[in-house]
Amino acid sequence: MGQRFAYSAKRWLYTTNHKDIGILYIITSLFLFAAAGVLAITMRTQLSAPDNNVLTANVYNQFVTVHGLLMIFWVLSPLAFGFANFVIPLQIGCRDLAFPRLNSMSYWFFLFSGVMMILSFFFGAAPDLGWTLYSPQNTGQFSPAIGFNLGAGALILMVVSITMSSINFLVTMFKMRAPGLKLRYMSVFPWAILVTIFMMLYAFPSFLAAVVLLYVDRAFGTVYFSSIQGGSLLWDNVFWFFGHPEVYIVLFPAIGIIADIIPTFARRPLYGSKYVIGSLVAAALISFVVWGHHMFVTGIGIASTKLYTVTTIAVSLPFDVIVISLIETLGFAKLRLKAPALFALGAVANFIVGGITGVFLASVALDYALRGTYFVVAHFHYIMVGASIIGLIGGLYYWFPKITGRMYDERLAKVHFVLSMIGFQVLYFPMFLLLDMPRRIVTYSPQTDWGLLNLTATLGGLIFGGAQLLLFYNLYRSSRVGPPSGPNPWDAWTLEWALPSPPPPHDFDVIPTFQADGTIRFGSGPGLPNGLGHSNEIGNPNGSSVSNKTSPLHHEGLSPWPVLMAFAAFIFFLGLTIGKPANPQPVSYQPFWPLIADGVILGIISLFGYSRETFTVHEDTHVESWPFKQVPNMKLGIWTFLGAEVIFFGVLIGSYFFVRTNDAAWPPAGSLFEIRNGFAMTLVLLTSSLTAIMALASARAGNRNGLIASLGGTLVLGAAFLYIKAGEWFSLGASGVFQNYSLPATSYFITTGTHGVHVFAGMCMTVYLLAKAIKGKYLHGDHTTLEHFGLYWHFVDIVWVFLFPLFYLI
Amino acid sequence: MAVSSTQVQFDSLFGLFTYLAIAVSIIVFSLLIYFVVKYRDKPSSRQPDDTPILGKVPPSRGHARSVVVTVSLSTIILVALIIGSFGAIDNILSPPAPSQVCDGCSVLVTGHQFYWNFAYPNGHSDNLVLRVPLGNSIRLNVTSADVFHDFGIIGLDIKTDAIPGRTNVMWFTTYKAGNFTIQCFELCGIGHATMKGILNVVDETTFQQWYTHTRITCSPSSVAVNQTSQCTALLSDSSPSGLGLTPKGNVTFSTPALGYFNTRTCTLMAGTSKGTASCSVLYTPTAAGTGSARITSVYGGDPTQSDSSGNTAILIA
Ligand code: HEM
Ligand SMILES: [Cu+2]
Ligand SMILES: [Cu+2]
Repeated sequence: MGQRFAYSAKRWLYTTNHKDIGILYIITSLFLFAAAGVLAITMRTQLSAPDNNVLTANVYNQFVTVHGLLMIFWVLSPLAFGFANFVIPLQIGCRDLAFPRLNSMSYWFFLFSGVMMILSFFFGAAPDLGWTLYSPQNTGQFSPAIGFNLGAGALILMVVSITMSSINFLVTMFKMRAPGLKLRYMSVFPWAILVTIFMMLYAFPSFLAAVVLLYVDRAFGTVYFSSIQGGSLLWDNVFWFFGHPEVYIVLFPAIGIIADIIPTFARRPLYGSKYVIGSLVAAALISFVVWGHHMFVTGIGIASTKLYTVTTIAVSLPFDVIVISLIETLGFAKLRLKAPALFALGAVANFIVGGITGVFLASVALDYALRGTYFVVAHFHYIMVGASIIGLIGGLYYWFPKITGRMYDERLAKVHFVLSMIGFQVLYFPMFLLLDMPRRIVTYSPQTDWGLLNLTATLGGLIFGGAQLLLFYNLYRSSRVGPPSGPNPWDAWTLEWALPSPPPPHDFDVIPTFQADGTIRFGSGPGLPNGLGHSNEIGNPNGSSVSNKTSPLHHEGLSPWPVLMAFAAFIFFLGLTIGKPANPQPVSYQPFWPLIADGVILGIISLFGYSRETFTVHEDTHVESWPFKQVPNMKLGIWTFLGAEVIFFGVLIGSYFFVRTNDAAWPPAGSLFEIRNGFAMTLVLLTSSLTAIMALASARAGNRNGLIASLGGTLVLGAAFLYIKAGEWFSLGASGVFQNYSLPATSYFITTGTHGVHVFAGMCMTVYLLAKAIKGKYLHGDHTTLEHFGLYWHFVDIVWVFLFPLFYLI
Repeated sequence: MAVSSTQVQFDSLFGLFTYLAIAVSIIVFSLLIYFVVKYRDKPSSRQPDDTPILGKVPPSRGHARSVVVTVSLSTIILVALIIGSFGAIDNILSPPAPSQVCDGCSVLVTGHQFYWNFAYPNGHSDNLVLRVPLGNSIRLNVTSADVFHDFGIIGLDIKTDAIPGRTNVMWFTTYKAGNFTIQCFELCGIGHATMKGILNVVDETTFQQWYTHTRITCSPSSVAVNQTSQCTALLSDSSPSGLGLTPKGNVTFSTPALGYFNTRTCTLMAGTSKGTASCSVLYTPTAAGTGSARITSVYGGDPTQSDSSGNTAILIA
């Protein structure tokens, strides 16, 4: 027993298998769904009657904030990515994601970030100003609680997790599809995930930049958000540039699931599937130019509000196409109304209501009345709960047999559906009628006529919440005693159903091939590896037990380093955030050094272990990898990462422009920073790019001394850059110009500081490369690592090429 | 019954949206329900001949025509909505200039954690009641002294963000007398739910009486440093009955400028004409400062009289 437990603990902690990680994501997010749901039910109880006092304003504000943050970041996306982890590799015919250990690390970062968010309750107060964290209330002056710092740290860890996993999925889906699997052969779910990943890659860096700027404001007293020139509108812009795409990020996977479930149960192909996919792409693109609709009444001017009205209304067109196509799919169908289909149809119905009311809010004129009211709350819950959660629950029932090999209880699931839908409407519809009631208020006066509608909503909330207990019970019980489901209980066509349920650890014995006419073949025989006529079938024909035959390609695939690395980051951020305030005015915080030190040490150990571990990832050569045929996986990963970095720096530079244009009295060029210094640093850094190129050339030529010399040169030039930079910082400090001195100083220190950290990271890589080069590596065609380093280093140099004129010359 | 210009405008635009929304919903939901009922799996259902099967990518189906029709129909509706919205927003965002509204109809609104302050041109300032005249256009300059708030008036269907360092203008014409609740619509801290005020719409004569019933004059109106000026507060009846009752009680004077009063409060004495009272203090500037000193007099009211205040400026040579 003890031994079995130890084995199973080890398996779940160290696993890098995409299916295990998928299951971990799903279970964790369901737990957090329950936790955030409890917060919601408590709030609804408080609101059930006027002048109620179940919760104080203090607690209510924390609940309303953490409820929103948890549901959006720690429930909707991870649940969707749990499915994506489990099924995407199966659907595109590969044995795992491109970087399995990175995938495991993403999960652990996600888990620890969630823990950190919840911990924030125990450090003074959790964040308490709404999930939008508006400025300047988010600054230390108005929200001094240490819990807020933990919340910010949690958000940073979460963004790191999302960035890692979106890079991973992007490389996997572009580079590892089964031979012959063209992108257009993919069903809607993988497409939706692909589009979601792109939105994540471009939206989350903006959020990261926002939270980082906020964090330095709080910790080091910089003045991005406490100044009038930055302040509320700077936050609004960087937050909502991310925030609007984010609401699609949590929706699209659900649309993908719905659009795969409905054809399966209707027994007909999706109507207009290429238009549905095109619409997803179009909506994703437009989602980056509509953020102003969250700022309609901030006074951004009549022309901009009109523009945002048009773009926002335009974004509803692709959704019209999607909804109509889904409905048309049902024509002349043979629709089996099983639980997944019911939930998918219910999600479509709710989405129609949510989308139509979105158009109301898209009208700037109506928004002048509706902003900040329960009408908005109703609108986005129709989308996020009505469409996203309900759709994802459909996915849960749909893939449950594939994941567990067992069937859930259909009757219970139908009861769950009916109660969920009724509870949902009773909960949220009244809120459309509460279009005078401010959102996020802890209580309201009996003189209003809001009492009855609120009471109704609370009853609906209890029904909806109670119904979810049926879901948990059904999942728990059926996973143990449900009847074996067989490999393809729904007669679906996508590839995951060709495998036994649950699939064996290595997924495929033989990688399938897509023929030009869309037929899928396994090896030379015509059969499928699921017991349906396959010659050397794996596992039990009814698929209820895991096959114990392991593939030679995918060993046990356990690695302790991802979880350790995530834990190190967790401790590090904990140390950074739980320190006591060092200074009351302006508030700044003293980090808790012991934890930081532990985090750094553990981080170095695990990084070392990670890079030394022999963990081979098999890169198939015959795979379908349009449009990145010539690009190896790792390189594509680095490109993608640098793409995200571009947005990150873009937002930092954009923030600088923003505060600068709002500031009438910016010091003229040359008065604050010496142009000479900037020029010297530019020269040094550009030269170092040259030496980096020389390093690669020497390695290619097999010239060991040249390699060592040019790597050494790069290192020295990097150090010289930082030396000049440090000199500049010290002389500014000596004349009293600190980061909290003024906006010019704030933006200078933070932007160039962030860049400096990147240079430093590059120097650490150089040291590593140098050590290896001295041992004689990289000379025999094994120089790809050098190439990757070069990409990074040139990127960092190019950023400086932008920073130099911006800060020194204009 | 119409409450304000903004409410009338909102109702008609919201009505348009709602009618179209209901029409679209009826069509879409009928289609959805009809299909689900008609094509659900029954013993009599025909097996579709293009059912996707495992091991083969299903053939693509669907007409571009369907997309074109969907998009065109939606576009027609959406364009109508855009046009309606643009008309309304032009109106919302073109407030009358301060000179075009009545004296006292242009008010500075400042959000504070957790109350609203209303400051009138005559110096009257209140943390609870925004009193305005019926039938007039009201222009509010909305800003915040601390965090992001949002100033909204329930029933008038209009609001605007109160942002530190920015001033947003909001305007409406009052159609109905009475009290309306002002509330904050952006979570701004612990007191957010109770960050309320009262919009008190009164008829024009009452308003004018109230607004002007403290008048303050200083003479001479221009003095040198260390020279004394006499400031007189003159009150006229502001009782709701308008019977010509005489205001009683004290008036308090203040100024942000450098200088001193011989006394900060004086007691009202009845004036010669019916329903008036006045009293005076002496003010002596001690530094030129910005070149003028703003003197404010505040009358706290009595059982028959409402409170009020007035202000004026003395030029300092
Ligand atoms: C048909 C397309 C949609 C339109 C036209 C639309 C429009 C809008 C507008 C204009 C607002 C701002 C309202 C205000 O703050 O006053 C808003 C808020 C919101 N929408 Fe949508 N929306 C649409 C779809 C969605 C989707 C798909 C989601 C999520 C999956 C979503 C989630 C939200 C959220 C969370 C908010 C509130 C943000 C906050 O202030 O906390 N919306 N929507
Ligand atoms: Cu939005
Ligand atoms: Cu407020």
